[in-house]
Amino acid sequence: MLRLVLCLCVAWFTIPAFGKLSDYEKLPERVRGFLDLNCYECHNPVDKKGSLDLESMRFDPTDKANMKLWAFVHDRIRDEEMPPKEDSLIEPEERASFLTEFEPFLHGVSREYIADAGRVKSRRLNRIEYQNTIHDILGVEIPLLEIIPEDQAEGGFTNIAEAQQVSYHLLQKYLEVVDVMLDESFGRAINPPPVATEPLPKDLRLTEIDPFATSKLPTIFFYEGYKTFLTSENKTYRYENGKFVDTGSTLDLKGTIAKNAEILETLRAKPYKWNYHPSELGVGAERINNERQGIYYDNQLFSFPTTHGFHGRMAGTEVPETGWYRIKVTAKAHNPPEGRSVWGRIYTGILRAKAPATFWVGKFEATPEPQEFVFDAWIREKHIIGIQPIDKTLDWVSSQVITDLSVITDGTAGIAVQSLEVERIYPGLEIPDLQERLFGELELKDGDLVSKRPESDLQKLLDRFAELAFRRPVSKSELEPYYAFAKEELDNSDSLLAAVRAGYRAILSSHRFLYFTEEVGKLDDYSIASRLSYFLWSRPPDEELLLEAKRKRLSKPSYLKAQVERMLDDPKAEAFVKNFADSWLNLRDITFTTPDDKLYPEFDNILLDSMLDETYGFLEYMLRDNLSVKNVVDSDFTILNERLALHYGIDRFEGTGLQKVVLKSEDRRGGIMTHASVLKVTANGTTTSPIIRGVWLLERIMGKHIPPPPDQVPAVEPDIRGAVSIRDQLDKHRSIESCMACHLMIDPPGFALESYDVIGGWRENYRAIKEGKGWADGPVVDPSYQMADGRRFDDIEGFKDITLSDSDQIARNLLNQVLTYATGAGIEFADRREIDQIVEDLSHDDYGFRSLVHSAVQSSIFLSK
Amino acid sequence: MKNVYFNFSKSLSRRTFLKGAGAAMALPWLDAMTPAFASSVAYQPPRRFVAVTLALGLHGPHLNPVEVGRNYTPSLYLSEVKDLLGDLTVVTGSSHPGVSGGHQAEGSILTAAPYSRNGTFKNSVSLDQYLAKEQGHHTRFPSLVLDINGTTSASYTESGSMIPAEQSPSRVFNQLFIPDTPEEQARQVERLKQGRSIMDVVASDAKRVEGKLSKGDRDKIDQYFTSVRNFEKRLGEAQEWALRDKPKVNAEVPVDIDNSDAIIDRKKLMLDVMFLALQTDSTRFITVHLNGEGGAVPIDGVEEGYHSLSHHGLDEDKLEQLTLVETELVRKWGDFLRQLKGAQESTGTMLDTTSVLMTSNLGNGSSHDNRNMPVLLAGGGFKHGQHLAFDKTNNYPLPNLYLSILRRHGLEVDRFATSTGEMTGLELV
Repeated sequence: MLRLVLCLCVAWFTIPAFGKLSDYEKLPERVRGFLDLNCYECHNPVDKKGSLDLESMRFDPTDKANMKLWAFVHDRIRDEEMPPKEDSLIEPEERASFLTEFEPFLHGVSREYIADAGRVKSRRLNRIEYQNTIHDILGVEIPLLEIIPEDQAEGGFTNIAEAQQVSYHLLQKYLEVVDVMLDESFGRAINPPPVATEPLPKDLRLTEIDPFATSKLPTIFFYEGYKTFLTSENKTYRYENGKFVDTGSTLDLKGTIAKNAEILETLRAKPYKWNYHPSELGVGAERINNERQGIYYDNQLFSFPTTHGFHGRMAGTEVPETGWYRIKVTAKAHNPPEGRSVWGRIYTGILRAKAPATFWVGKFEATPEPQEFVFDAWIREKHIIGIQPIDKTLDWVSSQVITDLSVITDGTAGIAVQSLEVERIYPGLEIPDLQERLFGELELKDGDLVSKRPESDLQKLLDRFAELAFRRPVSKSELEPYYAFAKEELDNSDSLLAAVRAGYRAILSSHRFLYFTEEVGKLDDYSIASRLSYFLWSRPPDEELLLEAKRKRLSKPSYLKAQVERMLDDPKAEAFVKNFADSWLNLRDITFTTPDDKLYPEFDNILLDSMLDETYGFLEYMLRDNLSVKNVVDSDFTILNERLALHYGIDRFEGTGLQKVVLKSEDRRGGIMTHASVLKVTANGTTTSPIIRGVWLLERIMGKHIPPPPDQVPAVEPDIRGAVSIRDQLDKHRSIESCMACHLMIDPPGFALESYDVIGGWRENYRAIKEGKGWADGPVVDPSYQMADGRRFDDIEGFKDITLSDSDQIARNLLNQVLTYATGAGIEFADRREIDQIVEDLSHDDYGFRSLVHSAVQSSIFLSK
Repeated sequence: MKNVYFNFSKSLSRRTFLKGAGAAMALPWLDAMTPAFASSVAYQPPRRFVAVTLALGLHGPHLNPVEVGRNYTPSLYLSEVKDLLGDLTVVTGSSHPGVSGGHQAEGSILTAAPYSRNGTFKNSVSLDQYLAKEQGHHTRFPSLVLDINGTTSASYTESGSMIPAEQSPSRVFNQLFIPDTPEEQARQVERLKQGRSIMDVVASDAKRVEGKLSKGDRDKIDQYFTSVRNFEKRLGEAQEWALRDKPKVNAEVPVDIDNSDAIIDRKKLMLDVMFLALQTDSTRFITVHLNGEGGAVPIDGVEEGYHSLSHHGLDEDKLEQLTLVETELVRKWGDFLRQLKGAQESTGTMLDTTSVLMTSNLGNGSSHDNRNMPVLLAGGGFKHGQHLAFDKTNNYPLPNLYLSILRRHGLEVDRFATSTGEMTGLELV
């Protein structure tokens, strides 16, 4: 090993200087002249208006941040935002001649730089991509996002090479993940888990003891298939025929604990599939203070919206080991309010006050007709399942009310569960495929792989695996270090299995796995396959893509187009919609703040989840039907479920599930801009700020970069008591000269959204905290404003019209965002001309979103490093 | 205060300890061992450093005393820690030279790296990581990097990359104290050993391709290469530690709090685990960061989000709510100091050997001002009990304090970031 290191050190040479770029070290005379004449008066070393000193700012083509700033200077002058109109008068010809000098100059610098270094610098897999990739390769799925640290985001994107950092701490996490995954994958391939066919016999079912959690007993026992409870006085009750019967004896604790352990042992070795009758999931009459349980009555299990914690917990569903489970619930709405569904959640956890952490599984819409709902959930050992209506728009009842059965008949809306099935499942490859993936044709015997020629088999297996992991064919010399390492392991351990595993472990620790391998200039076919696959699927290329790469067809436009079509039609493309929307619209942070429950009592997780459904659904629809990107700003439809329709005040919604709803003008919705999801993500839970929303709209929708506020400027925050209006505050703020230049642009879009509250509801008045309880109407909302160029609008509709008058810009922005996401690098100055050309082409096709994705993929920006 | 019980199993016999640690490794110090060895060697308690970093600052007028020097009248916040005034120093009028950018300066809290929005910002090593690099090998964990409600940290590696923070007290507890079975331990050691060899393989491979890469790629791969080498080294240390049993404490595994707005309760939970970590000498360097996001902190009378309160604009009602939150933050910090002060070591209390810093990138959260940072330093063997006041308009360089702390740890360093010398007026005990 040492020898190898020494040899390689020779290959270590110094960084070559950017030969051509040195020509660009100085700004052209005429550019300097213009800046001197028009800009230096404020942007000099002394005044540094807006923290910008143009006079001494260097020009460094090798420094991305520096180039970005120069591009920004160009844009501010081009867009006639600088110099400020009241300070200086520039003849249009003067501006134009400056731009015809400056634009080609910046373009040239940028192009040279890209030709030399590429746009994208050694991008590595981000957290989601890493998880999906290792899932695909090892054929088993374990949620890994908890272990892998979050990525640094840049402009909302978490896959930007420039922002990606690496340290040994991160590598430590990766190795942890690799080990967890290898354990699971090899474990399953070597000792395949039994497949559940029949449900377990009754006597192996769980019962709960001591629901009062007063003793130090384990909380769950297996006890003859009956519900048995032990009170703090050590009296034993048995639950029979809907009644608690005092057995008159104390429990044989020792015996029960021993039996318990024995049954658990058996269970762990057994296939796992349970059918529960509602009587096993809750209790009926004589509920003795255990209102956390659902209510068993009339062969159904009832739960109600209640402030009592963990109501609806089903103790008997405790799972013996951490893993994936398929939950099938048959349920219906009980006493739904007129025209409403009853929304429930399924969640897991210990579901006791001592361990309050819960895990969201999903939501479901219970209707008067019983329906089956299916969920796949990762459930932790000893956790149980809970089902409960949590719709805040229903009437909630206190814990007193749910202690007796009258709540069932008094008209309270709730959920009735009719049956529950829980099955242990193993997502990923089927066992024979998994064995083939890891061991090829080799057979397992006595805990090792059977091979006549272990060395050549080892090499074959590693070669195959490396090709998958590195996403391209691997040459013999590339494989050599990994093979040498595994071979050493083989010699030391005399176990081919151990050697294979060691080799895989090394391959998955390689930079060739972690990083994208791309060479400067045009991408080769395999690089295209990878870039495309992570773009549209967030996972490694599948067999067909790799085959196309092998045939060198991905560099041919027609084949490439066909692949994009195939990939977009694949369900895996959901990853694009979700991950792109999470980045572009910042939806990743939607749970960052919880709306204040006094001001927004109607908010709940059902609504939150429905908001995301709308935006993802909307984008999916745009992509599927190639709808115009103008729909981002305004649309005549949206995607709603019953709960969100209620939130939007759209009462003509009928049926269930997610639906395309045609909008009317009185709905005051349309366009992603008015989706509750983005309105929530741009608010802080208590108030909305036109500044935050304004900046968000400019950067995400209108494609305009806003510099951060200069230092030491007081921030403007809405006043929730309504004493000072945000408008007055901002007017005052804008009167500060250093603030005005930016706020002229920021405030108008921000105010246009003032009519939507923290959770995306429509408002005529702000909500204000009421003394005592709840909220009251505060000051009236005024969404009117004027754009920086003087055009006025009265409300959101007027603002949309103004925004749509420059549809090119909406398309250009979306294309920029898509290309940033697709390539893992921000847009460079040299990319602009091609982007403008694409936008021009798209305009002939009403800017279809699917066409836009195709154009992005076919662009030289996407197809070069 | 919680009692700590050590497990005097085979790994704690001194011979095993020395053998396991190897010649280059200094003897880890455990006070519980002192009686057994007192006759042979005089043990000095180790020096430790803890930083509590806040993203939103502390309201200056409520924190900083009016009088200067000793015997000052405690400010509103400091009256929460009246009993500790002799154990701490409050510094005003100091900040990191050249650091600006409001919230963006969060990364510079412990690094003091000048933040410039006009160029590519590259961070540098944070104080805790500097210490961990020099002295972290004495303990099972070179450092702990924690966060109350996120994964952001104030800790940066030498290459300026942020160390992701752990936010679950129960996970930290498990790592520190929950023992592995002998089989797990053996497997652990085997894997760590193999992991080291793997890092060697992949490092060589990375080196091999480096020559073929463009400059941009090369920087990245070089960072990767350095990380691999560091990891290889770290795996070696971890391998040594995996041979030894974890210390036992008689505390329950903490129950994590779901609500990320409950920063006060979360902070308490984390500080408790931190104390146990220090007391068992599982680590000597800890940073814990508090993000400035999220909704209203569940305290009576607090209705608005923490971040929006920090932008109070001197609005009385907002300030009142902010004060409630910040008072609790200071109080919990005080409780932590009291825990340290209540723990006796051979030569004094744990507070005497633990420097506990609380600071923030924002001197004024309301106006995003990075000057006049809030600075509280307790313990660590400095002469405390004073208010060190510097120029509010022309700030004193705070990196000087960091240099003082490094020197206090016995490190012969000339400079830390933009320091100009040790902090004036701060003397050693």
